[in-house]
Amino acid sequence: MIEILSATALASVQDLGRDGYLRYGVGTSGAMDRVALSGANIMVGNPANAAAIEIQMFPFQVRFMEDVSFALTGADTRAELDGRAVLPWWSLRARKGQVLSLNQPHHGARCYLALSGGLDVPVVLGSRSTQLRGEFGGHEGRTLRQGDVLRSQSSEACGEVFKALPEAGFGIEPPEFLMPMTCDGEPAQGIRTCVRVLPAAEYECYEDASLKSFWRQDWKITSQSDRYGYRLAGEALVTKYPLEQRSHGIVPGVIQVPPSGQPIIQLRDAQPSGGYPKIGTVIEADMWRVGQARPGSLLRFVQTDYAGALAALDAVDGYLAEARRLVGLYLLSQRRD
Amino acid sequence: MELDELKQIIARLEASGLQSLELQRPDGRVRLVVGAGNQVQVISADQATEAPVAAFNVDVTVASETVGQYFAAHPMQDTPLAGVGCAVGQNDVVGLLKVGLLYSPVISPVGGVITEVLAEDGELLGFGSPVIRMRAA
Repeated sequence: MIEILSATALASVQDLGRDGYLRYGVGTSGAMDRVALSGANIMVGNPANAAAIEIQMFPFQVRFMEDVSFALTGADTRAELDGRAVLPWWSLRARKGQVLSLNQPHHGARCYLALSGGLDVPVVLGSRSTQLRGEFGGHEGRTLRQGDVLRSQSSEACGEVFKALPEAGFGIEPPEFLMPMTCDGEPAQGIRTCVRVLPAAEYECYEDASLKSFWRQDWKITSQSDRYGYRLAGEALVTKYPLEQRSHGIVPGVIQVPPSGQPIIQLRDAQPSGGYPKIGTVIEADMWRVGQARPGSLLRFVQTDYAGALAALDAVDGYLAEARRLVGLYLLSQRRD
Repeated sequence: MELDELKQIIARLEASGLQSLELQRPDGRVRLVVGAGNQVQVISADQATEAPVAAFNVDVTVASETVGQYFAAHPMQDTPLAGVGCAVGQNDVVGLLKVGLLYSPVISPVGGVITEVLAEDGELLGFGSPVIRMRAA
């Protein structure tokens, strides 16, 4: 059980998302960085899909109202537990009354806080994630407020993890070091994020010069970017002829181009339909990189194909499976009873 | 009993949370008492009065408790967890040992100041390899 101490807005309860309801007009929601959410859950012995808190405004503080093991993943928030440093991608035991403070990260945009057992919020349409547009799911269908109290689902398993955790905790390797991205031979670092993109339905409708600049330029992530979508700024993309379309279904990751020629990446809280032409789609395996790219930073698109997208997804799945295997062995080796 | 050996026993005593320890061996007897400010007093058990014969701040060598590749800093952070001259608390993470995807912490058994980093960044360490030397406060 934890209490939110910060008045900071925009933190929400998320799991891997609400799949299967786009046909009813219900968006997917879920963590912007699903790899970090899964990683946090793995480190406290939860199923990868358990609900955790996504934090995207800092500083952020919670008080533990009981002894519980927790994990922090995603951006490095230079966290402190009662003033003592907590490493990123780290799992630790908290004692009743301790306060966890997260600070503005130097890199990355979002941090995930998982409690062993997973957050106990109702499952709505198959998911515990917060549907902000529909105002349901998560904690009362809204972002978290100061004074909110969240419980974890108590289970035998979380007691076991708590006992097995070493006093100073343990960590796992963040995914960017195992799956680094390069664009034009240069490693993506600092303020530039590289993500792989599949050409989408209207790709061929764009001028050759626009297609070249789509792949070659650094797109700036504007301040009008959030969980709904990222609006990008750069050299405008121009179609060979006027395109008009009826509204049609879209999924998170789709890169739409409105008449201004400045693309928009649709993200977890996007509407399930739209009418703008689609030049490309960020592959699922790289959506977590988008989720950690923050407004003001630069984004580069790297072309891939269907086989490349599937291989990338296999790499992510392999990383998480290996993390779960090693965490299980480690906790087993640490048990002292 | 060698002084180095004594210092090691003292470090373990401090880390264990025990208040005193008495050791009898053919080459002598010694009684160690954790006094005020966590300073260890070495008391010879042969003496009638329990006046300390020595009291000092202890040099502690922190050894790895598992096998792994040593890293002074977390990969997401630029600064080492514990550089020379850093003050650290008891149970602070002063280094990392990596096995596969997993990082386990190297933990400071006592509060004090780091005096020397003995392991090379990226070096593969075995069980009991010295990692850091520190002066217990």
